[in-house]
Amino acid sequence: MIMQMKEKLSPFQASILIYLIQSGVTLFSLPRLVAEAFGTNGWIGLIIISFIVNINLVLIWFVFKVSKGKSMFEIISIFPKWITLPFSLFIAVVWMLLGIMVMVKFSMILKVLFYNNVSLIYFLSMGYILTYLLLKKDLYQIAKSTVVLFYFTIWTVFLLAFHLPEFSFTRLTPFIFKGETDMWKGGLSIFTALLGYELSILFVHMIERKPLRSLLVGNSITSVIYLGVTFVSFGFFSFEQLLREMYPVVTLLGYISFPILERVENFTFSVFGLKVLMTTVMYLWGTKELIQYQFKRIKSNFLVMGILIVGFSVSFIPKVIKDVDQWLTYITYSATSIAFLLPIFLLLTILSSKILNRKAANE
Amino acid sequence: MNKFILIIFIFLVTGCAEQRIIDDLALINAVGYDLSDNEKNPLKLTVTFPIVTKDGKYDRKTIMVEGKTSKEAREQVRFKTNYKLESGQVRVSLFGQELAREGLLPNLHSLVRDPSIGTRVKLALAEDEASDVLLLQIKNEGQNATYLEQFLTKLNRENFRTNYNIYQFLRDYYDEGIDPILPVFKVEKNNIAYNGIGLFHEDKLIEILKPSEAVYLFLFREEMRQGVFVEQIDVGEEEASIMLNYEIKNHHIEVPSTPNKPKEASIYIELIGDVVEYTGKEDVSDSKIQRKIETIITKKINHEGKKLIGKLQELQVDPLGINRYVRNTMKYNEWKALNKYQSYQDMNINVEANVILNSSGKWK
Repeated sequence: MIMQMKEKLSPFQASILIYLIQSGVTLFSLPRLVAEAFGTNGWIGLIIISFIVNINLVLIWFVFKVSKGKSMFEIISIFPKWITLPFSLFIAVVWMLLGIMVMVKFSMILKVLFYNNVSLIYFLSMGYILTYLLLKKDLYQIAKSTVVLFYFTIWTVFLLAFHLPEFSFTRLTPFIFKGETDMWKGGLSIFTALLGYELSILFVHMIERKPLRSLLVGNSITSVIYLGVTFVSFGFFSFEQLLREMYPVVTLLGYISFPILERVENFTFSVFGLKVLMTTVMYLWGTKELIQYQFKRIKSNFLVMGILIVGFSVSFIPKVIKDVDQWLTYITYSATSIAFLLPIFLLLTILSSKILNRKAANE
Repeated sequence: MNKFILIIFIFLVTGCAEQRIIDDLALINAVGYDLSDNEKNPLKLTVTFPIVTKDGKYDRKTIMVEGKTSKEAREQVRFKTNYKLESGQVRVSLFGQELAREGLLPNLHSLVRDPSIGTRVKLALAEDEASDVLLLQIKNEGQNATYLEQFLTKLNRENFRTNYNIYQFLRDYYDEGIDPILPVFKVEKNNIAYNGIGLFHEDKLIEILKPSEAVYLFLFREEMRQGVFVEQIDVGEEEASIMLNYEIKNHHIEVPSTPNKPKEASIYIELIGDVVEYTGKEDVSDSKIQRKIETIITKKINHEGKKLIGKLQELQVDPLGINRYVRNTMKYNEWKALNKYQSYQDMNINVEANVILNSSGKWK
């Protein structure tokens, strides 16, 4: 705890951190998911989803505000460790699996699309080595490297300009949310594309100033990018075509042509891997923090190694993308409920302990 | 210690990927699909790829096989070459007319499903057999694939918006309001030549427009920006030939919204042209003559356009995307219930062109 308090995150770093945790592997299929969920002009639905995330972020900030800047672990320290243990372990496992499965899915797509004959073990080994290098540092160091990665990947957004010649407003159609829609299930699956922000509950107290604003800005960066990509997709593809594109964003990337280079998507897709890496790193960091809280005596480095070894072995259980998707569905449902329930639970804890304290003072 | 482990890993992890030596690869640059007479193997697949001969000459090899499906036929190709087949460099995909009349979708699906094939692969039709075009050995012309690709890119740049790739074809196929088109090539006197535009109803080829008719089609398609217009006109004394370089300033399609289904549509275009050739005796720099020419050309475009659109309506093909504008004036349920091609056929589509002469070139 003392170690982490040493240095604080600047609002900018915090925003970028949120953005990089959020943007992960779902981005590649996002426009299709949006079309499946909301039908024609589904990109509007993304704004609603992003708004819900903002409400959740305000809730997290509220925990920070009401507790007067305490960290999550300081708040739950009023409970004995054996009560918090099952909860912490559950959350830790969900976060760990989420972090791992995101990376596994990215590697599998990479294999299917570009490197058919390369064994998955190489991609994953590379991923885990990079994860290890980042994870053994504390959050401040991780945040610093995210800034570098941010500049490394943000330029890909401007590639969307290449699609403007093929963009057509006529193709957008005037119909809003028509066609086959699946608002609830589909909406939830889109919501999971924005997951990752809930980890901020672990570091909101470390943000130097204006924590609420930096959280919201982080989510806004993600939302604007997602919205941009989805909007362009809706005018670039015809609606029925979009429903049939497995990974519309990969097709978008593949459509870009440079004068001398062919098939640049091989490169740009790999650059996206860095964003996926950050998602994995931060989820595993959350896992580490939770387990560390429960078992203070384990050395941090051993813990990281332990998590990575467990993660590495788990990542070979699902055999095909279909399995990973199945896993991800359940995991993200749990992660979504954690995202909402954890801050509510913390709020209740703070409020009830305040009431109890007041009662005790009165008596 | 950590750095040491890292370095070892870096060396271990790289280079594990599969090796592909370029000399051993058959980088397919064009594929052709035809129907064959063989009942068991109804698909004829032609692939062509560049090779370097043993005496160092740059050459190409073309292989033709018959199979049940395109991928099955590709397996057959594997047995006919000593190189390893790679489809990542396919640039052009040609379809024979007969096959195109039965529908392109099955073959397009196997193209778009394959992750090694990009969505920018250009598509084209062969007036007869695709294999004829690919097998043709043109003198001093190395790769037919490169030739075709260059040709298609050129057509696209030179005001024939025929640049249709897999993405664009599928986009227009899946869009209910527009039908795709494809350029047609034919073999003539040891050369490959452009010979019009194939019109599609869904994924089936219906009719091939001659180049002279196709000019008007492009005039009304919205991607058009500029072009060349050649016509015989009669201003006063006798018929003369005129050639204009034009720029399209305004293009829009209007469908007035009516309670039931729309019955009318109008295409407005405004051309601003420069005279580059005129064989008549009249003084084209005279503003009176210019106005006369403007009216004549406007009439001509309106007339020819109307004729062409009537033909398109009769064939139930909608390459201009009129139905997209119909859709955008309707309610969703009404649009879904609409018999799109029938209502398109019954519509009254007007052409309203406006031609303005800008200059008569640098000669009076």
